[in-house]
Amino acid sequence: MIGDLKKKPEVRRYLLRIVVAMVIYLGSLYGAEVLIEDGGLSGWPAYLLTALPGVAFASVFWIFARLIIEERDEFLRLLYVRQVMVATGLTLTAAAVWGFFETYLPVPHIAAFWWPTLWFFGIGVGAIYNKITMGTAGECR
Amino acid sequence: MPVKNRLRVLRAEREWSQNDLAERLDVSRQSVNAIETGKYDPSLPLAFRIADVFGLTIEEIFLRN
Repeated sequence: MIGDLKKKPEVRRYLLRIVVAMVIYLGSLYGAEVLIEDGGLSGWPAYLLTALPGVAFASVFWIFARLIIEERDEFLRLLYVRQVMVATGLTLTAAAVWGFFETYLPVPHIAAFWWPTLWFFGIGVGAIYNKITMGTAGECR
Repeated sequence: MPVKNRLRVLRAEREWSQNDLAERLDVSRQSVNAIETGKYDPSLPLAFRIADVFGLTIEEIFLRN
């Protein structure tokens, strides 16, 4: 059945978009390392290049939103939405708690780009939550 | 208000697997299972589709708890 679902056009589009976003993410990250860190690129091109990995990261949220919109199976759509809510709640709570920790306690600083990474981890937690409460983890990958 | 349904019985009468019914409804097998086990109540459009597949009315499939 999962094999069948992978052939669904909305899932195929989702997977293709994820691949493109990851290629742009890794490519721009590599470019920033080589051109800015090693090559000393500065000024607005450096700002533009530095923003690219983050924008590619952000595109994953758009990709997930498109999956929710394009999914024709209403139950799977519900599972996706629940996963996003778990991931978002987990991430924002962790960011808020750690922000106060950093303000009042001698804890190490966490770079902001780790928060969206935690969101992706939260998607996995959301799948486990769905499995426990709804009997299936859905089809999110 | 939770809703009961006779999906499992109706499916068994026709000797359909969950996959068979899912294909007829153009939904995932997980959806059929979730509806059968009462974990998920279908939308009205899907309830109408289920009724059409079984050739029954919605009230003959979905019951007040």
